[in-house]
Amino acid sequence: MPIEQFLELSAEIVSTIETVIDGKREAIEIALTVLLAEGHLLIEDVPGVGKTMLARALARSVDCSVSRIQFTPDLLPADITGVSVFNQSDREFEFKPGPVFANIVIGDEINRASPKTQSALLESMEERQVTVDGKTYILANPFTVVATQNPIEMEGTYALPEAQRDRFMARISMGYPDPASEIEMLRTRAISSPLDVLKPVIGATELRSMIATARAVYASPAVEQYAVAIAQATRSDSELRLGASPRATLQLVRAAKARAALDGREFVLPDDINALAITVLSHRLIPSGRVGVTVGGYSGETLAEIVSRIVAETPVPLGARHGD
Amino acid sequence: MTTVTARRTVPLGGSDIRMSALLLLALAVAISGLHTVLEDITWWFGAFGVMFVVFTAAIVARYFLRRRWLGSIAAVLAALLVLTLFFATNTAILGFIPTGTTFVHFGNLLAAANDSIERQSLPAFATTGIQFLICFAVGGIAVVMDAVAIWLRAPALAGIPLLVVVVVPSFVLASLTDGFTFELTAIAYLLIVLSRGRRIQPAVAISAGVIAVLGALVVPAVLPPVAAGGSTGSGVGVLAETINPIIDLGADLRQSDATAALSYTTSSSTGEYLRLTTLDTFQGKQWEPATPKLKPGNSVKALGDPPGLTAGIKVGNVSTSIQVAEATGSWLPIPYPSQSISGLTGKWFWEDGNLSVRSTTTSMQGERYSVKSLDVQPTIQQLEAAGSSASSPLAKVPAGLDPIVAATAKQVVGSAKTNFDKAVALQTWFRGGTFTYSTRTPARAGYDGSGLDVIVPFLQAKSGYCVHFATTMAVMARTLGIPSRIAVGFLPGKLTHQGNDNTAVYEVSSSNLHSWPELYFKSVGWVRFEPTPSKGFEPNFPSAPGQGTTILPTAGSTGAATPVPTATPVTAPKLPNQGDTKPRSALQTSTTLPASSYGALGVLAVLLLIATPAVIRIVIRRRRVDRIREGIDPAGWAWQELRETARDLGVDARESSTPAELSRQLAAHLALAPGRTAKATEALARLQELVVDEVYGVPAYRYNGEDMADALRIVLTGLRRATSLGNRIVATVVPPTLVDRVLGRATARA
Repeated sequence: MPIEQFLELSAEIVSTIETVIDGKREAIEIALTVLLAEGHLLIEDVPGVGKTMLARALARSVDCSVSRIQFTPDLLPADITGVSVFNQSDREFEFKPGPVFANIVIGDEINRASPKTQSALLESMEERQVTVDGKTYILANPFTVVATQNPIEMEGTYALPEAQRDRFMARISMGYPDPASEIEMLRTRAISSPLDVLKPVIGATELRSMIATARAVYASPAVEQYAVAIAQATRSDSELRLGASPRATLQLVRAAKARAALDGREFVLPDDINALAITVLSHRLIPSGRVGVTVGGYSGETLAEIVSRIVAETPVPLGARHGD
Repeated sequence: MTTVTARRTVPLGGSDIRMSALLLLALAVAISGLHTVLEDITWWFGAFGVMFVVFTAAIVARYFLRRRWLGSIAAVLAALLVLTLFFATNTAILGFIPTGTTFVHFGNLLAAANDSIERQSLPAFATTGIQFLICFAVGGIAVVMDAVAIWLRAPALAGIPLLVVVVVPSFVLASLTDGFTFELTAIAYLLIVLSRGRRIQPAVAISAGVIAVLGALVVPAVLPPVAAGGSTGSGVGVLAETINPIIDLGADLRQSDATAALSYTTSSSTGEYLRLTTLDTFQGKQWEPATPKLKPGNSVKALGDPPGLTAGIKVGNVSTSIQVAEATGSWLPIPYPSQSISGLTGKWFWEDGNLSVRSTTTSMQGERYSVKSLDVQPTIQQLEAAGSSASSPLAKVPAGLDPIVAATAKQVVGSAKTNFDKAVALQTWFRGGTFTYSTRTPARAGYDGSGLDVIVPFLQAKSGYCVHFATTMAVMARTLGIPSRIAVGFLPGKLTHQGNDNTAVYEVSSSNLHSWPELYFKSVGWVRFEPTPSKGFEPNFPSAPGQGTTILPTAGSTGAATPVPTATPVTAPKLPNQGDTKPRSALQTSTTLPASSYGALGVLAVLLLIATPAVIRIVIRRRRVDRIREGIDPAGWAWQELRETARDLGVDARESSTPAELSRQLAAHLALAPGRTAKATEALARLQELVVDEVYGVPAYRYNGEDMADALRIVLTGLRRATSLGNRIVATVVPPTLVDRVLGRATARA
């Protein structure tokens, strides 16, 4: 797909979603970035700020299969992956695909489900396939999970373990809207839900094509060095107990490519890496004891600060370096 | 990022040859400024030869080897070879390939140069040592200039070695700075800077120019001039004056405190007149030493036969052991005529004609040697019988001599028939009582000196010192057709000890400096006379066998000073202190530089020290720009240079900033002087684009090193313009990035 068309479509998607979510352009752009980078998105925030709305709007803007899973404590793995049921007429077991068999899967309040159920989803996220009764079923392509979770302490929540948080390419938080956006929201929601009138902008085929375009963006050795340098720095930072994994580096570069494409560029800049570092890295890191940890298991603000400091301290590579 | 093949090879451009030619011109002109401190100009040709070979070798090596740095290596080797060829060919393989001995020899030459500089007055005679020193320094400077201008591509910096050359004379004496040479050098330097065309950095040129002006004007100005020695003002002492030892003899004689010049032990019964050299020709109106070219074969182991001495003349042998104490100079004090000298440490050779012994490399100071000489004892009859040599060039009366001198001579000799009688008559006239010895009168009456113009005033005043007596008698002898010359040396001195074996020990001090006439008689040779009253003693000639008496051809109230080898040694009268002059004898240990000159050297050193960081920073920048142009990681170097210059100028440019971030920062900085930085802002955007394309762009992008370097230059200029003067000074004098580098701090400042 030519970059011009890519830009056109992406702009259209963003503006479409903006009709639903007011004043959250940054969050929308990151969501789109993740979608185009074939990653999974974790939206974390307090209830009622539009997490699900963003997920649904993103899903609606693409004319593709969308499913939604409301995670509850009693949700079973089979409720996600699907089950084999005995077909009386055929006299054999027949696989009934679960909601995970969709291009975009919205997982609402993912931390309410039991760890067992969570891992069923998370494994399918990574492997992009599901195995039921010894048979393997390939998931849809493209396949993106947009999960939401509530950081506030609640009865019956199970915080995602770090190994599973690592599966998400990016974590964003919505934040409260500014007063003007909130007033605007009151006005638009008075008549009907804007989500109902939202028309898809692209189909699954076009989405695949856009993903391919983003994937083809060139990441120079200097940019790769830079991403690795940042990841390395998180591993040796005294404030962190767990640094970024190699998967994190991979996803950082992949997301940066999508961001570059959304910016109309054919190559990645260190600025792309900088812009995405907090979003892509901070939810994977575990602070050492000195950093205050909130009860919910995250200390996002503090971690964001650490990542931001690391980015500010890491030299930007500029070609091969010589002494002089 | 594109893979860039490093283009380190450099095609030989006409520009490099032109640059070398300009460097050669500038150095040749600069070195000629030394003419103010050195006699003659032969040394210049040697120096030019060395620099020519060095620059040529560098060009040729670069042409064939295609590496700039190899040119500099070749320049060093060429300097070594040419120095070997010029100065140590005997020690070298094939005459120019140096061996270990060569370097030992070089060391000796440098030591000799040091000695020569220490012992000579100005203008100094360019001894072999000094010539080597000049060639050595010129070779080194040529190598440095070539490396800086062509290898490092910073021709403006070639001004620093040039400056060193130009200011050398001003270290010696402020008034010695030759403004004309300095201007020529400055013009040559400007040509060097301008020849780089667009590569000129005005700041470099200006700062180099400022340093040059400071060096040439301020430093000499703060230098107190070297105290001029003697009344003639040009030299520091007769013995140190290698060109004409008679010039400052008066000053040396007038000095208040006599110093021990030398001592000797001799078998002679009378003590020896120790001669340094003779002055036998007129140069204009001045007696000049002959200083014939020294022949390597003229070893002091066997000196030549005394000119004119024939077999019929009775001679005795005299052995003298001489130890020189404080006296310095390049002529050796020896009796006349000496036959052989042993025990010398320096390289001494005898001169044809006058048998003086001279060295071009060392001074007599500290020498201890034994001389075998002849005691020529012609009889009076033999002398009277000696024929005339009026046609000898040494009998030539100098042109422009007042006729009254000849008339006086004729009147004095009266009816004397033979040359010898005439000579004795003159001597007697001088010593007879009409003349008085004084070192003060000539200085007071304005005829202090040895030229022709002092003769008439001296004859009128009838008062003077040895120079006047010797000069006048020699000239008068010539008017009578007797060849004559003036000897310069020491009186026999003061007898201090008499040994049992008929030897006597004499001590000679600076007040024994003396000059006397020598007259030539056929078949006898040169005969010493002593016209100076109360000084020394007259020569004693026996009568022919059978006559039975010794004739002392003197008369007069002072009486004949018969040889007095025992109780009353000949000493100089106590000389009055000359308050109006500052006599300074070469017999005192001389120093090359007054202490204040070291202070000036310190000032220059401080200036250079202050300039050093700026120079290093410029060299670093220049090398980076070269790499950018040559396509060696152009973007990396361009951005690093941009970032570091920005940091030097006080912008908080961090290594962790992306090109876009730094660009925004710098654009904000440029906006501080919006009127003058429009071009720079454009160039910054262009540079950022080029760098980003080069480093992060799809490999299909092609770098353009020239564009990048040009844009960088414009941006750097703009950044400086937008910076306050204070920050610019800091950036020049103590560039923060350089400080970080020196302190080992990572330039990667977070």
